[in-house]
Amino acid sequence: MNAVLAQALGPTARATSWRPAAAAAGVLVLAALLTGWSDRPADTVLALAAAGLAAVVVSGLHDPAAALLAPVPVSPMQRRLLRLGLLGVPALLVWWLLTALTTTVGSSGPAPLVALTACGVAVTVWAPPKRAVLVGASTPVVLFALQALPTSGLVSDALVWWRTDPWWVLCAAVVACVAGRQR
Amino acid sequence: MTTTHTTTGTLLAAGALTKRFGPLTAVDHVDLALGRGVVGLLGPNGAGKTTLLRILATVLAPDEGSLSLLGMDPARPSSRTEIRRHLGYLPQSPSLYAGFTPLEMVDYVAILKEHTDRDWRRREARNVLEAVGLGDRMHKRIRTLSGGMKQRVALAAALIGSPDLLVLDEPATGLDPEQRIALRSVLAETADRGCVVLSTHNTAEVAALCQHVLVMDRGRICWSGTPTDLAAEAEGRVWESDAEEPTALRSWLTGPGRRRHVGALPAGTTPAVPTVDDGYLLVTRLSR
Repeated sequence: MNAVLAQALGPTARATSWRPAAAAAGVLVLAALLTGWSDRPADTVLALAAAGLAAVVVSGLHDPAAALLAPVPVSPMQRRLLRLGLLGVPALLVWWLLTALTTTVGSSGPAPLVALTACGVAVTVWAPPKRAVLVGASTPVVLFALQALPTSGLVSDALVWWRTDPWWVLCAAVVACVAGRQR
Repeated sequence: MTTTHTTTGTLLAAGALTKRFGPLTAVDHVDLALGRGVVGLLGPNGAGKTTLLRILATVLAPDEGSLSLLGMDPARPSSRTEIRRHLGYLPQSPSLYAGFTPLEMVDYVAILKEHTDRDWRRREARNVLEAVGLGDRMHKRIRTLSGGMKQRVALAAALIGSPDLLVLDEPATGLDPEQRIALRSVLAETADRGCVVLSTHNTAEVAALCQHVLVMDRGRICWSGTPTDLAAEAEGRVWESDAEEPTALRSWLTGPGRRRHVGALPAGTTPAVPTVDDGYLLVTRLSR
């Protein structure tokens, strides 16, 4: 299987749409530079970057030839992981570039990015196939936007778990992905 | 219950196969037993053909019933993977990677079918592309090809690795008459060693290609037999006239002022020679 995935890496990279990722990275680097120059804390920019990069990584799961490839022995989950690996590594590099360009008050680790990406993937796995990637890629952006809602109590806490407790969110998302590995 | 046997050795067996989408039963207690040969699935739009083919291609799991493909149970993940190593599938209106060449596209599918020998894969990809008549276009970008050529690239991808079970959803869509004839040769070769199940709206295609026909309507197999048998269903029940016939089950214009009818032959009328079209129209009408 490793030989198959290794040989599939190159063509999968060519089959992946890189333009949205490049555009998002460009915008985020520009935003980080502007924030860095103004000498303000970049926590909001990094939270936005986590949501934007996660959305871009999840949107890379869109496979135009999915119907043709549906009954190949390499499972959809393995093909998703291949694409996630291809897009996830550059996303992490962009993240580290952003953190290098800015100053933050809190933690600047990539955990929120990883947690939001995992949430998006889990939603993609379980959403109806026709709109799965669209719904999944929207998830990180929706979670980012929901922080602004005037809520209180547990709901308020839960809406920012991806920032405050990202590794638990990651665990829950991974469990959801494993449960849906045959999908 | 409908059971269809082609040649010896059952490659595909289904019992009471059922698939529902909410309140709609797309496939309703379908029974099948298919061996080597080409089996055509005919039916009106919405009859459940695509859903049935997706189940047979292991893309969709049935809600009820039993299914055995190449002697294995696709409900078991390990068996499903093994079945997929010997399965070719052409979906309805397949999308491809526009920036790939046909050779790269077919090669990529071959990789995902776990063919890791690069030389063998390239040789096989060239062979299937030659077989579908794209030998001279295999290095062009897919975005520059016509709809019919893209369809043939997808067909070549389905054929890679000489599958024992080939599931094709309207494979002749977008093909010109010459390409259709080439398709027949390709499928006949595959049918020598395995089972080909294809759906089509074209009864002439079925008559030319298939050893067996399944007529599907409202999720059920309402008729099965050979193309000759299907035409024979309309024996003595098809006629032509210049006027409308209120007693006919189906009537359609065949030329200026000339109508063809299927149904109970009126007294004193000379029956016409039945075709597969006549048989199909009669069978689908009688099933309702």
